Amino acid sequence: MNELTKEEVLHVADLAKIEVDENDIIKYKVELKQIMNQIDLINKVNIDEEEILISPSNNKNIYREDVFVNEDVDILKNAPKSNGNYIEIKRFLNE
Amino acid sequence: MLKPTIGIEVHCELKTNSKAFSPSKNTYGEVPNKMINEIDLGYPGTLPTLNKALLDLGIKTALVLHCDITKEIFFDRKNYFYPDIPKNFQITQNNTPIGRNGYIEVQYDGIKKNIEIEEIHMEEDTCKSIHENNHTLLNFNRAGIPLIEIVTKPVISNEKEAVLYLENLREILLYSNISDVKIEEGSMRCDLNISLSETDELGTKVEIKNIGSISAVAQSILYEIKRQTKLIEEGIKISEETRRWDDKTSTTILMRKKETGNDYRYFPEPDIPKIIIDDEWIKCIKKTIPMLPNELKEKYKKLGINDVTIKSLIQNMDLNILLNELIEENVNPVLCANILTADILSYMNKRYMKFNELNVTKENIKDIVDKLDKNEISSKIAKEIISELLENKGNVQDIINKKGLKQISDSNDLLNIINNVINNNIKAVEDYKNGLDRSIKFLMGQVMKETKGQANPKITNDLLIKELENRKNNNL
Amino acid sequence: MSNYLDLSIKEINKKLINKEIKPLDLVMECFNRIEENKEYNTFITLDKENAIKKAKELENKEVDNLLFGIPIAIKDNIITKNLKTTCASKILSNFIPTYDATVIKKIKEKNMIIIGKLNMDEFAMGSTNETSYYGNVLNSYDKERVSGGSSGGSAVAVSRGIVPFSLGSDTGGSIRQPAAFNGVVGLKPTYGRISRYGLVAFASSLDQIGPFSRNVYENALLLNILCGKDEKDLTSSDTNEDFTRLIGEKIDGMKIAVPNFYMSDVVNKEIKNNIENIIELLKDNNVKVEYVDIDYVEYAVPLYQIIALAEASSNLARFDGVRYGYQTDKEVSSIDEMYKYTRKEGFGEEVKRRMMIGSYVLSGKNAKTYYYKALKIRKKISDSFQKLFEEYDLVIGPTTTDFAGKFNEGINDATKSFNDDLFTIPVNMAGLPGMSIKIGEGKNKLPIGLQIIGNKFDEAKMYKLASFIEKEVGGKIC
Repeated sequence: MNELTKEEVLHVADLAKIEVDENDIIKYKVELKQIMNQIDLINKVNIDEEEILISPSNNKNIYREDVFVNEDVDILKNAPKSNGNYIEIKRFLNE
Repeated sequence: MLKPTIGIEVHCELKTNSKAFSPSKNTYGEVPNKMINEIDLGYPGTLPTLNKALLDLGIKTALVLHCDITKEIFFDRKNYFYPDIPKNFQITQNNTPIGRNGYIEVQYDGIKKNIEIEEIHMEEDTCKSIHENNHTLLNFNRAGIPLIEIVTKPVISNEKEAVLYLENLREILLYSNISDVKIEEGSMRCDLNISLSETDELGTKVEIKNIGSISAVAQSILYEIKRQTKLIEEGIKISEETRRWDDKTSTTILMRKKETGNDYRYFPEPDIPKIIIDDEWIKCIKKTIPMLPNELKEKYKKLGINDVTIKSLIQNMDLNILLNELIEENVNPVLCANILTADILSYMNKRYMKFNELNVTKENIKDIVDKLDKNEISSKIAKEIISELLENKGNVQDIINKKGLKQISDSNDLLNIINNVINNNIKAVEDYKNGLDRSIKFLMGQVMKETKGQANPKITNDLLIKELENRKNNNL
Repeated sequence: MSNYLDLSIKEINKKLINKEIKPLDLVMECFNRIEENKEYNTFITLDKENAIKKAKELENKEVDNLLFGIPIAIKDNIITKNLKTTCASKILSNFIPTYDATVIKKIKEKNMIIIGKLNMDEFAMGSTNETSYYGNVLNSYDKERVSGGSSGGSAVAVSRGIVPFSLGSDTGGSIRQPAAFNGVVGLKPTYGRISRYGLVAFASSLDQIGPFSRNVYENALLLNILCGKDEKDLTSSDTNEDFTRLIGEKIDGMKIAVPNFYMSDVVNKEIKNNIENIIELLKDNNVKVEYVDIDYVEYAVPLYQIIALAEASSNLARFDGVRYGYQTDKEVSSIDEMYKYTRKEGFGEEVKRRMMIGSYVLSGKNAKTYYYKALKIRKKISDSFQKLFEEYDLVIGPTTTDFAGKFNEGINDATKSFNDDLFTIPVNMAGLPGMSIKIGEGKNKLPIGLQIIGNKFDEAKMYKLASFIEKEVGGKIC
């Protein structure tokens, strides 16, 4: 596989929400390529329309009855910023 | 001619006790951030559990919307960062929606049309964000409340169809006890897709997000058609974008231009094992589905209830349940429907009350309708009894006795009263002799006035005509 | 200072019952040994005060089980209520959980004493324990070498005799590989055997919590109390058995497979010889041992890179500085910038790289060509193993291709941490149980690990073989 383009690196960094600078981009181009080269080995396998394995668990139809339990967790204990009973963050939608 | 094509996505909060993937309470309007646990907050190490009621209601929704049910389902993760989704992914269904290929029938202007439903799927709600000045406050009570999303194909042609579709959907979900569909509490929310085109090929799609009421859906469709038509006529290309409806200005406002496709990186949720839905399960759910609005309308029509009454009846599910119970107990359906819609419903609507909050009981209604049916009381007296009950509670027979509202059916007693009335209204008698039938009504009214409405109308009417004829023939 | 911690669990138990010793003696010995072994950097957080308190409480209680009063240390990606849980990451360096993982509840119910939280690779991503925000863990046999990972602290703490037990987690080899590098017994149980509720997820469909111990029997003892169905983990399974029950039984008649893939030239010669000696030993004891091929097993590493990293990119998205954990100090102009700087500053290089790959293989059309394709091949690998277990009781081979390496060996190779797990990853792909036991030492005095792989829920059979071999090679106390 070819090196990822700068745009691809930026797109992936945006998906993963990681800030990257020019040096990071250069580094990721090389490192991601190393791993993707190995991943591309699976292209050699030719199976189509085969069953997928999502989890090795053989469980199925596992659910609970519809009963509520109140726990009252102290969510503010670990929150970086809070305001009254709320968690506070920078305003994210300008309406 | 530019032709609009509309698709609607509806999100409905399901009526369950607990959340979709955690045992926190499913509720509205509690103290902020008190109806939550670590799962709802996406704390490290937590795992989802699966609420059976979510599956049951998912199956039920698929059934009432005539969908094919997917027999083997799993959940998927929809990955995107947003402060209102605690895990930064939403558990939803992408690969195996619980239902596909359903429809809702709508009728208008003599047209009958099935609005086709592409798919329905189950997912979790987001948390509520409150925007203030330069910060946003997060309330996670809503996070994880179970939702059903219902997506139509792009088959809706105008605002009338859209409104009827939504009204019918709302009624169906309400009557089948799937959702409270309280738009004002945000338990039903609509997104629209609308495009215009002269040909069969669809035009550029504009999305309108999070519309808060059915009337706003109609308004935003009309507004968008006008807006887009104008642009197209001016030769301006419509751009793919997301807008929102603004109540204050009655316009749609641009939220964001469509980016190069949202990259949600869906993949199967490994923490929730697959669910196999067998025929037995579906059969069990079927049994819990009551008669739905369309079937009820048919039934009422056959029983002789008029269209206006049917329409107002359907608006209140509690009264329908009551009416059907009373019909089971052999009360006269037409009289009962009239009483419920005319007297009870208007009282409830004025005071925003539910039937079970009223002083009137089901037994009261049954007594009144039975007495009306047997002509023991007039409709006027029935009204009087109901208003007495609504104010002070009680027993129908007691009120009749106490207030002396019992009907006068004795012919001799009535004849005395009739003769008094006739003697005091010579002009009306003369009019009758001259062929004015109207005067019977006037004289009846006078008798009723005299008896405070207690005169048996049928007997009185017969006696009155007999007496008038007598006078006419004998020229008295 | 006494050395009660060097006794077997059974002997300690006897002394506790006879009131010859108190739980507090064991706890104090632990903290003494922690002090003596400080340079190995095995712990991130100690819980001395609570451990002492708990030990004193236990003095008035009846010694009702073998693990009563026994100290244990916990990998720092397992959630402990009111005890800092960092995943060896800056992003959780201030995180105080509000609940206990299910395994922690079980440990507390049996009155074991939690000593502290163990060092590891950041978010269990790594094979050398070099990615920890809290520094390297040193190999128990050679301080110049890596401990292995990601459960490096868990392996070294047991190997140095600080605690008789520890918990680790294994997504691609993170229990077995450090167990091999430090000469202790480490088990990755069948997927679903132990509840994952409270294990900070790396790759949900691969992760399992597992026990580290000094010997095979004691490993089975700990598994006895950890396993079972948990309504909080829908993938957990209801199994109730005594895992020690087959230990000591005869092994003749067993059928064992050795995959050719596990005995190729990539394996260090000396390690290979040691494995071959074990094969001979088994044959001498009427065990049928055969070399086999396992279809698709050679794709396990790329599958891991796709599946584990895709799941990780999603599982680690929750660390965003909003509800808990580190948040950037930078003046940011948008919530997006807050996320990006928080995560850039809060995560280490290995973790960021893996989340990038994970996002990439799920992005757009890649989901089909990489992710779903990998799930199909994963099904094939799982089927291959199932077929194998129709004919054989167990599979054996080396745990690792080589001995523990020196520090910084993987610095210019982003794939090294994956390739280190060449023989352990297939087990996670198929959800099987796998364990590593020490079968000897190289000329370099470094331990060599034998990996035993069983069919799903066949741990008891693995313990049977493992304890036989352990006895034959002169293993530790039982």
